[in-house]
Amino acid sequence: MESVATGRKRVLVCSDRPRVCEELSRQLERCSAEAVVAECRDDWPAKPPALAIVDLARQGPSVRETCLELGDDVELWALADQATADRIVPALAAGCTEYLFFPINPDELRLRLGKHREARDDEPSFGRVAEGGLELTFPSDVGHLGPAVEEVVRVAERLGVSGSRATLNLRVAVGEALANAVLYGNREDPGKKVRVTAEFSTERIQVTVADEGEGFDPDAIGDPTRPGNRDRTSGRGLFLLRSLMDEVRFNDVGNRVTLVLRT
Amino acid sequence: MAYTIDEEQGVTVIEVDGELVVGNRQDLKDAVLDRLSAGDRDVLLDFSGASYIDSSGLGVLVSLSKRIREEGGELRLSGLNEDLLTLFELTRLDTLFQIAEDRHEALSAFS
Repeated sequence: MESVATGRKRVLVCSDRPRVCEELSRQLERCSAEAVVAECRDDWPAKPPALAIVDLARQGPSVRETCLELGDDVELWALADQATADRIVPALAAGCTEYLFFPINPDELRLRLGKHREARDDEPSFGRVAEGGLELTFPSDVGHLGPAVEEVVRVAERLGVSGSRATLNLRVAVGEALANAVLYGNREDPGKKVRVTAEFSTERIQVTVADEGEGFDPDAIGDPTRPGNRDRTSGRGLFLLRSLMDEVRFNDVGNRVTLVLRT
Repeated sequence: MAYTIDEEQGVTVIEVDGELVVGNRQDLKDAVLDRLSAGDRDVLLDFSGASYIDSSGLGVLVSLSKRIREEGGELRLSGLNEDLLTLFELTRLDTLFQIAEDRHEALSAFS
């Protein structure tokens, strides 16, 4: 058997328990993150990722010592189980910013990872424009698509959008709009940005995605569900947008799309 | 995304975990094409651990389906969650692919 993993976010896993390392790595991979397992300090990569998870049952250095060694650029989360639950509060006091329970709840891990942002210049920049609103800008790199989509969905879920409206309609449509902007709008030119504005109200969610490309004619894209088109290998993104959103509007140039989902 | 490749009952079984999206679709495509080059013909893609497939991921599956047919093989899918099944139905790809509820059912359907 061969195993291959590709991931965007790298996470340092500090644990000396094989079962924990294995399970956490598996769950991180499911969230499109990559685990870097370190049983002890010697296993750390030269430059640790911006996020580390420390097993509170681990033997050796204390959470505070680990926190100091990792430095300010690395966010540290605690991993507790039933036997170490009483160590959570001290771990938070020692510098951990979040905690997870083992066995891992996949939904909780995904949610927490969605919140976590690495403080790098080329990461999507998030700025709340107002209560119930969100703005983000990122370079045209497909590696930014997942975190950007997760951020929009996370805010929507926090505001009460749930079930398939969040996990399917909003997630897929925003993902396709962002992918179109990066791949076809900006043609993956890292000098060009994608800008996203999301407005949330009790009646609807409106997401606008703008790229810096020359635009396109959305009416020129054929229907991929027609019998002769079903074995085409592209052309389904726009169809999914229109199928899953209540409204889809393009500007005249075709480099800005507005999606509306009624809640 | 992560995937594992195994063989069961003469069928190449690839279990896909996580998200099959534009950033990693080529990895899966290359893996399947490698197995075709090695002589494998019948392929089962098991999505029991997959949460999401975007339109470019769907495009790769269509491309692989065509290629496997050309080589005289058969591609089947299994383990799609409710959201993923909805995507296949919306895009009518449920009419293009043989989709089984689980791996066992898919394996028993290979001729």
